[in-house]
Amino acid sequence: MDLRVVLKLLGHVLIFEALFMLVAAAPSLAYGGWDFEAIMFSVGVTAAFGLALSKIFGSVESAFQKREGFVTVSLAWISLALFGALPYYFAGVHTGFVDCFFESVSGFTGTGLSVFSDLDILPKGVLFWRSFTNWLGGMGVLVMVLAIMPSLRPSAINLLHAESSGPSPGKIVPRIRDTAKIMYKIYVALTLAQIFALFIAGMPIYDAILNTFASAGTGGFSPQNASIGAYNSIPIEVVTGIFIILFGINFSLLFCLTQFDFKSFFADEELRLYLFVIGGAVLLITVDLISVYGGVGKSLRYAFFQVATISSTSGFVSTSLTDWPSLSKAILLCLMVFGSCAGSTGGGVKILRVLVAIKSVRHEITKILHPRLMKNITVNKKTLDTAILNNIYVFFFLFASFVVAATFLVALDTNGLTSAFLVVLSSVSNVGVDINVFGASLAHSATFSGFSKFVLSVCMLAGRLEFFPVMILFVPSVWRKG
Amino acid sequence: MKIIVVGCGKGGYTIAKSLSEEGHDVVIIDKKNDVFDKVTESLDVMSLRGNALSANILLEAGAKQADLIVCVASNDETNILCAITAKRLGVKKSVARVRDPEYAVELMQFRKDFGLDMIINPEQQAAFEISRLLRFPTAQDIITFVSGRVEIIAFPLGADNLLANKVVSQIFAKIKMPVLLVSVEREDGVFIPHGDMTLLEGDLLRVAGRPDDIMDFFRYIGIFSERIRDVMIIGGGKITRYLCDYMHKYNAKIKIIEIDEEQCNELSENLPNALIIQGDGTDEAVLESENLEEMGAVVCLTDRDEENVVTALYAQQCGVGKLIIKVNHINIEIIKKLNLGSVICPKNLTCYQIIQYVRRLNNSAGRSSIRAMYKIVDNEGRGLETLEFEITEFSRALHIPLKDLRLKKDALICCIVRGSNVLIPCGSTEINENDNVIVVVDGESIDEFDDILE
Repeated sequence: MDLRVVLKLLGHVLIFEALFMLVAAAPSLAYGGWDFEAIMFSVGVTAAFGLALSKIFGSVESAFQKREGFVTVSLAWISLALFGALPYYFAGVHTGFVDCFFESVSGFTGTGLSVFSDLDILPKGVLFWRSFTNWLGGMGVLVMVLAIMPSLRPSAINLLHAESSGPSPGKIVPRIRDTAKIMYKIYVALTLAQIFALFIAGMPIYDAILNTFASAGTGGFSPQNASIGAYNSIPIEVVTGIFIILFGINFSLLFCLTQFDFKSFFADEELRLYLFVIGGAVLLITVDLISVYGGVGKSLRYAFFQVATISSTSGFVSTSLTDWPSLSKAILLCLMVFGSCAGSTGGGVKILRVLVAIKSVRHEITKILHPRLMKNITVNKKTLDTAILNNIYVFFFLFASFVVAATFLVALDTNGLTSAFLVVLSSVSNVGVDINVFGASLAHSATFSGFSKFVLSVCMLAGRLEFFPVMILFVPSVWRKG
Repeated sequence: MKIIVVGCGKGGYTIAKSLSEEGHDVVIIDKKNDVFDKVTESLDVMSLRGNALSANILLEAGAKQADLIVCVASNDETNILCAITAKRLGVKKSVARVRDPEYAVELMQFRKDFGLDMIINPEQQAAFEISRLLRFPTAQDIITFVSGRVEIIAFPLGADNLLANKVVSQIFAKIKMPVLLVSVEREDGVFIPHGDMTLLEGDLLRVAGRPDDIMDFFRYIGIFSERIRDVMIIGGGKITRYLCDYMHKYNAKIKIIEIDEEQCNELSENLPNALIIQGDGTDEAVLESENLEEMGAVVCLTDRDEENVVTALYAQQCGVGKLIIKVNHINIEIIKKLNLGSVICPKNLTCYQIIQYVRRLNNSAGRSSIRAMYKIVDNEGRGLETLEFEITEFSRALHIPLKDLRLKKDALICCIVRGSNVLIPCGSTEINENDNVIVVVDGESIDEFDDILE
């Protein structure tokens, strides 16, 4: 493998990160800002590393193979998280670098597990950065590099493949660069729309921006301790709910909407299943909750928001879940695994894979009845080839393996197997709430040991990058020269 | 421009690659899935699987907004029908590849009625190139401009040639012939020569000028040879048929060796003047019994590149003076390194024709329009472009003596064709309206003449 190409791109990524960190300096200044120096120092360190790398390897020009693409994405995310942890570290509001790293990984991967038990003590600049990492990680940082950096070779499509979610991320338009640009345009437009809508719904502008970042990246880093619940406002919950569902939709489909192509939008099988799952879950949970809240209105309100936030893998909280019946919690657990649509900013195994799995099961059963059956598995009338199908099956296996293995490791120093399992699942699916101890999710993560936090960080990264890019780092032959 | 390419075989791939690298948005449609792995890995284009004859697939590929469709699927009928359908759906221009000799002639006639904007026939074009090389055997390759009035001809510099080890400026100061040295190709690449460059043995030189003047130049430096009378063609495919038609006009004696009996019968029906031998073109016994060593030229046109190369190697050993090899799959530069003779690559010819067409579309409203474009590529795939422009009244270069025009460093104006005159430019030459100007540029690709001005 040609490590120089990888390091060159890593340099670019870090420069981008430094620039974005600089954005966080603005709110810091605006709100008094005793964290301004910390942020500027982080910007300096990150930019120095970035500039050094791109200076040293700037002249390298070499083809980008698939493995370089995967390794780059993986290393880029690790370094993003490492340098992204600096503002927390330098601001001094932490209990060790592992905590800062955990918070940073959780932010970039759009998970939303936090080590801070009280957000009110965080300065405004750092708090801004915390939510901003949600937004940056949501669409993917390398996708942004693709959109902005000129003269990338066609093989850079491998970066898009490795970073975007879903089994076979494709192009919307012929050029990668234009594809990346369109995705970011949609992303930015939706973000602005949500900030505006939240502001109209009565949220202070600073909170509106931060909550929007957290929704766009389906991360859930709200600036309030009680998350969205702190505002206790129906309009805010409805706006946030609708937008996080939107951010959980495949961006190529959202592109269809911008082209006024409603037919292909609503004909999409994955979208239909996604909306069906959300609708079904809201209905069931509403009925289930009537016994708790007493009225349909209130039940519907909490059911809708909670389903939206879990299904899109955002992980906001609007109320305490401790009193919820087990059925509702079980449904939320399923939603957590399913996640959102492929090609969105959300996590989980992705509805598309669930759809293929369901179809595969049906296919296998029909094959028992008709052994000579010749039939392909199709989604949206397009046959999926065996390579993609295998990739999907292997993905399910990896998802399960990661959850089991990490549960084992986290359980070593946590009491309670269930809570270990739930927090791991929540990390791998990038949801970031713990159903068991709902409402207390913020304080919860702080109690884990350093080792568990490290394991969970790996889980979050692996889940966000869909396992393969992370696993390839552990293959020795990748690191050999030539 | 938005361009749809139908069919992703060797031709389609080359076209898509060049167009995408020139900055156009390309969508490829192909029936087969397995071709796409290579495409998505190495080209920045969108690929779509499906039957390009279906209107829905064409619409999905963006037919409504597309500027051009290039149909190069394996089947002629598909290409024609697809080009017509696409045009009806709203694609602005359509190009179809038609290979069958029977269709080709008719379609050229009725092209407008079908709404096709261009028909490409790689085999016919290859045959045309080959026939030119046979008429003019000293040339390793020939590029023609302004319907044959100007040619750029490549020839290798032998050790005994009187140009060898001379400095460029001295040679041309002495010779005073209206020809211009436009490029020098050697181990480390292909260059536009400057005055103090020394020509070495083994260089591949290209000169531009009127064909007759180039002949005189060749006579002067002692490398002229007459047109070839006896030609042996190995392989009896479509190129062979077209080639025989061209060569027949020059009374050449043609011997065709083809292995397939049925094919031989068909050839003998269509080509009554040629001698058709049924046999294996790689078999030395067959070649010897047909007097290989007495042939003026051997043209290897079988479908298998390897066989063509092997036969050519054998013919070279037997002392055949002129060899022409067709290759489709093998990297053309590798074969050029073998120094066997001229190499013809039909897919590249097609590709140049399309790029030329696209660039012309691209600046149809511009200050000059491209008439022709060819690439001169070295072993690394880097190279020069030779282009012909027709100058319009809007050009910035009008009526300025060339010595006062600030040209880019890596550009050279080779010839100016004004009416029936061909001018080799000097410092005081001016460019007028409606002139056809032939330029050579290094590196970047250009769309119009003014791009070579500073």
